[in-house]
Amino acid sequence: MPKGLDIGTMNIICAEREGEDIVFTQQRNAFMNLDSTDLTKNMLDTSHVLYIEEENGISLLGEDAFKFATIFEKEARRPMSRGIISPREKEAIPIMKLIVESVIGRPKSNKEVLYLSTPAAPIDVDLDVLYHKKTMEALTKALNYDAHVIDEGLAVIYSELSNYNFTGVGISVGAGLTNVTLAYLATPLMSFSIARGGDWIDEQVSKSTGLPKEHVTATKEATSKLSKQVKLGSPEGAITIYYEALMTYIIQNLNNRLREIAPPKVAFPVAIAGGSSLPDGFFELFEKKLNEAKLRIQISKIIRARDPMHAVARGCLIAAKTQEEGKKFGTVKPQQQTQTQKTENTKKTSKKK
Amino acid sequence: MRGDNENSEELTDSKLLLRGVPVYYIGSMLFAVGIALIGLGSALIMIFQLHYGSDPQQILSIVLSLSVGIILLMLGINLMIRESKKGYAMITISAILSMIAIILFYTNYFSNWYYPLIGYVFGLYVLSFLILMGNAFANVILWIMEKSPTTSVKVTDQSRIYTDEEIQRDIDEATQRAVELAASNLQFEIDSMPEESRFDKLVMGVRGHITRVKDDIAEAVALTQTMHPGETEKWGSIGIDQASDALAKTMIQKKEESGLFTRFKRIFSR
Repeated sequence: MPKGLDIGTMNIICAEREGEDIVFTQQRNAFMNLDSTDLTKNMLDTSHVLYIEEENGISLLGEDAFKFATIFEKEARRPMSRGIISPREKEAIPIMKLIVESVIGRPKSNKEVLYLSTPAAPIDVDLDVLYHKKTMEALTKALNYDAHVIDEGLAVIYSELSNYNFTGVGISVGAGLTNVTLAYLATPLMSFSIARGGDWIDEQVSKSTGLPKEHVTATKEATSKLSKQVKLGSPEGAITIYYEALMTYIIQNLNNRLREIAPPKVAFPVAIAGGSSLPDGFFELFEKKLNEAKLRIQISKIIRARDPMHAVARGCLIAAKTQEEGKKFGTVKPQQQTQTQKTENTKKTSKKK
Repeated sequence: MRGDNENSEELTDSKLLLRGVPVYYIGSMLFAVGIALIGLGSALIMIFQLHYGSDPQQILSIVLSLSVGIILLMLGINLMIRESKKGYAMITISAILSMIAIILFYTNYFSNWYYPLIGYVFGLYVLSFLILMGNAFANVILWIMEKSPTTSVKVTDQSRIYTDEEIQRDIDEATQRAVELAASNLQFEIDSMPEESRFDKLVMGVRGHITRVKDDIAEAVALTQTMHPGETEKWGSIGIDQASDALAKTMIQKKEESGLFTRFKRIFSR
């Protein structure tokens, strides 16, 4: 059965089909180091916590890392930063392999199709995503999957814009990055990312209000509602201000990028997804700003993803299923794999010779 | 280059259309009224047989109609020409000056028509006339120059000039494509990663937070159709056979059920 995998800065989510349902398995992309004692190990075993034991201690993985960080008064470490593998974390790759393996499991058949999401190249910082892309692809191939990568924005389009012939703009507002893709009939015309997302909002609010970042994150995730009417000096007010700033930044960069291409003269719907788009009021505010923005393309409709948190994983699953169906009839796969597949075919051909 | 000139002409025309239609209409009305007043004044000269000893009232009416007519004619011409903001300012100033001159003439002709007032009034009127004339002349010349740029200065080569940013972007994109192609040839050896050898124990069976959603994921079919329209798909042949049989039976049944009138009609329709 094909699978879709959303590898995000904050969460790793796998989507797979089981009967008539889609099962989303979500795990926090985080880990925490603890001293290795018998008592600690017994406690963790009893609590069914995901951990690994190494020479210099224990590493808790996933959601439990966040939970126990509070208990042990330590900070949870994140293998990814700004949408890609963190260069500051030496253990990032092995930790991510373990978390990814726990989320997607082992393939049920040989070379099971897996589509994983990766960010597009950011346009506002000097950051290259190629290493992250290739490393994630290699990690999943090592687990015996037929792995392919797809842009996050394109995955949103696959998930939410099927009624519009997969033509439109897909925006995924994540923790580390915001990804934007413009596609026409499922073919990406433009893809980019900006290095601002939920984490940027947390950092700015934390700096402005003096509150710890974890407190801001918790406030944002638990009780935040983006409203013009907030208590003066409250973190909710600061969160709303920085959410508005993020939206303006996204729209400005989108408009700038649109100058560099010549899109077809059709009306494009816009689909918005991503964990950072969950707060109440986000969609209404973004819709208002987008309508006021006068973009270089005509916007027909602005759509909120049915499930913003899982839309990217769902889009990856759709791509994977399409790939699998295409294999049955000998057709080719969804976009973005043409380059890699051509190279592999060339290698196979040369080997045969 | 030619295309650019044509585009600028179209832009000019569209701008004229957008802004100038009511102004042009007003200008043409003023022009017509001016012509009519000049005609009236000329007719009055002949009717009253204007001479040195003519009735002041007659002289007043002739002079007023001619002076107002000339100014309206010039105003009309100026408004019909494509003007810049400065041009409209000139038109406004000259209209005000001429109005002042005509009002001064009308109020002072019978009682106070002496020098230096005559000089001032005449000077104001002539000044306004010359401003209108000069403004029209200047704008016409500018318009002629814009339409035929070769008559003015040598046009520089207008072929597309790529900016440094665009060139750098193209270079970056080409480099990125080359790097990605090279990276796709790499074979990663994950099993022998040094860091992994340190990890002894892993508690499996804890996959994460699970959400189950009823979803038929019909988008996959739509995506296949969008990407490969008209693609041949294999359908079960048994299904088609069954459908064909059902259709044939239906057609036969329909034929048997048809009444006498239908059969009668069918005979004559052959």
